[in-house]
Amino acid sequence: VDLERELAEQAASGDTDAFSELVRRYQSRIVNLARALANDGDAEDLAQEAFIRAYRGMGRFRGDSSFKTWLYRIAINVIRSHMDHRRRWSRIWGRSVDDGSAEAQRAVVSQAGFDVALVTRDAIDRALARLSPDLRVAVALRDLQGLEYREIAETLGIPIGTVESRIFRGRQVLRPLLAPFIDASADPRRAAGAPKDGRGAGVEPGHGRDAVPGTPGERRTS
Amino acid sequence: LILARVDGCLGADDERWLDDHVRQCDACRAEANSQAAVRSLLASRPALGVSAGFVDRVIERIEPAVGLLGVADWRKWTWRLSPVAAVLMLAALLVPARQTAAPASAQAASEVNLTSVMETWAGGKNTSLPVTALFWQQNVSNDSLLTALLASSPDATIERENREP
Repeated sequence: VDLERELAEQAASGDTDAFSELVRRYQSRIVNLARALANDGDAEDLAQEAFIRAYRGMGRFRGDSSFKTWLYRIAINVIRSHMDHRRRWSRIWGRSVDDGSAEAQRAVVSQAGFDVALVTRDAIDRALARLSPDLRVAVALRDLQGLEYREIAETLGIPIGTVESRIFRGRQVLRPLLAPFIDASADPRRAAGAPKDGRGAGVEPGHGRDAVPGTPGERRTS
Repeated sequence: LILARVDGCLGADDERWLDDHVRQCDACRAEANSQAAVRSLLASRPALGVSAGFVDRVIERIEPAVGLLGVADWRKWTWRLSPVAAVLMLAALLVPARQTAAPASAQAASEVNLTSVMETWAGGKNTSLPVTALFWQQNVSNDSLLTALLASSPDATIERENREP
């Protein structure tokens, strides 16, 4: 983190090499955040815009927060603006929103001969799109980006309690939307085609750190 | 507590207490499993690859901004403009010096004597004219006009000298 602060200071004084290093470190995370939140093909454009705004505003980064949360804040603002803009346009043109319902997901997951990883990602992104913006951002930052509660609170400028509540409610809403994938991962026959490393079609609930006692397949961590 | 348990940030004592509780409470167990299942699935979301040259494209878009920021950097452009500033300062010092050194006759030349104006204007005819006729004379100074007007009534006349050609 100190190295990032140092790089940010160098970038603020016009060192583009230092800024390149920061972009390299965060490009994947910001692109994936944009993809998950905006759920369209503009993810790289949005990420690019976020980095450019970060560069232009680098002089205002005083190190009160970490570079990471400062960058995430900028990225979320860019993505939100984009989504507001898109929402206005779809209202004007009457474009329908993606059908991320459980039925639609089930229809997709029951098909054979597709790239499970891509379908899973698409299903998750479409399910996230059905959450309210507040819940979506909190869940994405926690479960997709792996930020701590404190970092999310810092990024969004809200209390930690609010962060926890949003994540909890967000997952509650997502559970039925993602049921086919969760069920498929619990049922090996339906999860056929999933990558061997366990990624893609989901992992069995109740494993590792997520294990909850009293459930089948319980494996406690100590 | 369930959320903290699922996210692995619950203290050891709370975790023991919650585990005991969850074994006996179906609702909490179901909720905990649901939260854990969603969390696991989201965590397993395959990351989207970033296209090659992404960093370069960002830097390319930044380069013009560097130029603009360069303009905004007063330290840089004040140094670049220092020779121009020096020339301007020199000119500012020299111009007033030249003005003070200019002959006093230049200013005096602009002063117009009332009598000489009248002589020029009258063209040699010895007639009397109203004082207000001076208004139409371009070469009458403001001071001379004022003096003539204040010193006489509106219907006063000026005597022209009768000059023979």
